[in-house]
Amino acid sequence: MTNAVEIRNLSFKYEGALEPALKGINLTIREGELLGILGPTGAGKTTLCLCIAGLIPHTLNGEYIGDVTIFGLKMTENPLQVFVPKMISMVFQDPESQLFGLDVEEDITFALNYLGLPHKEIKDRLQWALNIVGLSGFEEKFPYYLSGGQKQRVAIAAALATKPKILILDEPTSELDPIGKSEVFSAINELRRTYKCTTIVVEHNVEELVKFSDRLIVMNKGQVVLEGTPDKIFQHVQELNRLGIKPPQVTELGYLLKNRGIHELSEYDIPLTIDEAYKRLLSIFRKQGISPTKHNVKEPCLDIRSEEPIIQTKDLWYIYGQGTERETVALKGVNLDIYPGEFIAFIGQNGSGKTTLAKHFIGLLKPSKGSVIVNGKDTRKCRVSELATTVGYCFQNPDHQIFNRTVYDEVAYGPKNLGISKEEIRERVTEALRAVGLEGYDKLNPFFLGKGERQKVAVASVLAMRPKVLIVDEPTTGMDWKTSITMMNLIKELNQKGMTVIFITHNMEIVAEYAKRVVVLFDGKIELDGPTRWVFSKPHILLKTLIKPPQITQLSQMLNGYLKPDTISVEEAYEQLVSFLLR
Amino acid sequence: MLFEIYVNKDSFVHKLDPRVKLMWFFCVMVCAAIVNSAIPSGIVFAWIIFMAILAKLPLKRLLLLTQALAYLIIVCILMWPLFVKSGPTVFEWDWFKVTYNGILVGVGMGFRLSSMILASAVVFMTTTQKELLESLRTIKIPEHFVFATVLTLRYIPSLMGEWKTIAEAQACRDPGRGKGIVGKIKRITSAIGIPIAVPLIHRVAKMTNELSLALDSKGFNPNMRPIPYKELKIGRRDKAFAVVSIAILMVYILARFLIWPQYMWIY
Repeated sequence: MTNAVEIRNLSFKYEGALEPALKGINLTIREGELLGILGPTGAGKTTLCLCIAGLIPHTLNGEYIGDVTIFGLKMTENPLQVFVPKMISMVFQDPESQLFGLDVEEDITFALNYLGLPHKEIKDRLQWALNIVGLSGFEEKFPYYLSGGQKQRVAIAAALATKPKILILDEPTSELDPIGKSEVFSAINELRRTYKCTTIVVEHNVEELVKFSDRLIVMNKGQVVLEGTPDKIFQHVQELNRLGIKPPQVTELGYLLKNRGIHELSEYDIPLTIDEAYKRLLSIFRKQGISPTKHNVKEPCLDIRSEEPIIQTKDLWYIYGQGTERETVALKGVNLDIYPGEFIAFIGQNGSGKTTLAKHFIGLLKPSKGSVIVNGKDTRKCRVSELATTVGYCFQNPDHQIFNRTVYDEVAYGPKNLGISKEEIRERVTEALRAVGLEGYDKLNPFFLGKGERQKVAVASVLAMRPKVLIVDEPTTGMDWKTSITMMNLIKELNQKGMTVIFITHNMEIVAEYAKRVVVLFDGKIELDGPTRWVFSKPHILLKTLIKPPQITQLSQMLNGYLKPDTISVEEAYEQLVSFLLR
Repeated sequence: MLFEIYVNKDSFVHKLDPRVKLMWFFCVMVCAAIVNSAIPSGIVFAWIIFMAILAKLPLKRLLLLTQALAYLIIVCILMWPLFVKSGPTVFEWDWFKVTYNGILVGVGMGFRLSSMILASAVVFMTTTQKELLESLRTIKIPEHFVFATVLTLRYIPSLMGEWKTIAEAQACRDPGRGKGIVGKIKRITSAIGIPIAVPLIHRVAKMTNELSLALDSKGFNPNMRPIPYKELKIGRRDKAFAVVSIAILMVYILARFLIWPQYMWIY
């Protein structure tokens, strides 16, 4: 078998960087193989992709040592035109910046123009590529108005249209919502079925990656630290945890059980998917003759709260673009009470109204009908400025708000606008920086910090206003597991100190681990509202809202009778299993 | 769509070759530029409205476009009579005098301004962006200019979206704006000030970086013209329309400079 890619002793240092991004990589990729790349942020995954795509060293400069050989052609000895777009295609992380045509057709056929193909062939390939990603009939759409998943699928189609021998997908789903993610994954599956080419996928979503990869490598600090088939790699659960890579929940469960010496399980390897785990556990139960017992989920008791809600919405309606052609009703009669000290997650698909609802709490949006009362004030009667000292709103991307040269100035921006004394500003900034664990960062330039740290600066700058309620919009999107956990622990700590916290997220494992109350939105209405455990034990309603509960909850619902259907963490499932398997 | 002004209708004007439409636009512009009296500029205005009706465009939406410049047009109609003092007097009070010619020029100016807006609106409402770009290519505009235009049109809505998000994010930390006029001025300056400009530039720089990588990965070559999807062809209808437009332009030029200069341009 020929090798598609051969990398020998590759090191690369970006111009002006202190540390090399890649340190002596040796890697061989066989033709037709799907290679998955895992690793924390900053491990050099993207740099490796750019090296294989030839953009390093041909477009980006730096110190380049070693060799990359593509189908026997050395990267440094041939011009870039030999490799792209005919031989190698790459899909980037942000769908917005790689679709630059005025319609989908232009984007997909862009590279074909440089190949000198006949007109008919171009048309055929356009249809072929659109078919694979399931977007036939989208030729004339303007890219900006497609959803994230659709955009990324167009980008994949554009990469495919040149019929490349090597396709590189660099975190194609990290900026997408769950629907977009599953759309992209099914496009990748369809691609594997119909068009065999060497494929390289960088991905944080391990659950999906293990389903279609032939081989995985794990990178850390510019080096390949683990390499092998998915089931081999996931024998090293501890090693992966240390690197900040989260194995699928069923894998963690299998690992715990195996370590405990549940005899029957150790004959097998650790399961990687829910189905595997289900079959293995079921066969163990059958062998031991354990029969299912019925578990009932307790309905939440309505605790009557004596205090006044800090935020209250009454029959809240919101209509975007009222009176225009593009009128959309985003909220349809939402009634919600939020009490001081709560820790709430808003979940739901994009367009379900989560962010619209949250923006009402700080007055960025005013109700079209109904009312929002924040801390006793009707938001229609006051400006954002009056609410900003009660409610702090932290946007998803810190890039959207950081503009000062030092962290101190950035955090002090809000308090300065309040017109308070210098001493008090200093006090507030110190307090806010301490709360997010960035003491001593005050003189640094926030533009040179990592994404996780920038996110913390953004939170600190909101905290410096001393709000009673903190709203955090998608704090973990596009972050690796380790950074996500640090961020969420920080938010949890704030909640424990008495702050009311509302966070919006798509990550159900995060919801299960942190939130105390969950509000599920669907099509502008509240579909479910209650304690986290209770919400996740309603699979039928969640299915309607297209939300998948965490893997472990899904597993325990499949094994209903053996496991409680409202299990929400690996530890809980493990304890339940141990209690009757070792009886 | 935020910036889409194209109106999808099946009409004579829609089917015209975009280059012929650009030529018509040029004719209208010259006509409107060389006359200043109410009647000839009114005829130019009527010509554009006639085209709009022919194109089955929604007139209400078309006139809404002029709303943005309504103040300017009204000011023109009111101010010009103060400067043009020739011709028979209509109204006189002390030093204040309004003449017949002054009114003609004022109204004419109103027509000229709205003609310029409406003519471009008619072209943009009946021609897709792609047709326009394709015609730019056929009249030998260098490819990198055309491609830059493509990118501009493509990324305007993205940048508007970014700008809106940044403005909202900063508003959450900026409660210090006063009431009344001071507050209003503060609000306007903060909408274009450093707190918004810096993150926006940062975002744009990031996006352009990624964009350039994506372009390189597709083998982008600024000197190579893409293969057109639809060959543009000039038909009999296009020719006839072009001849009529040029004829009207000729009549205007002759009338303005040779036959009735006194009626076309009033001093």
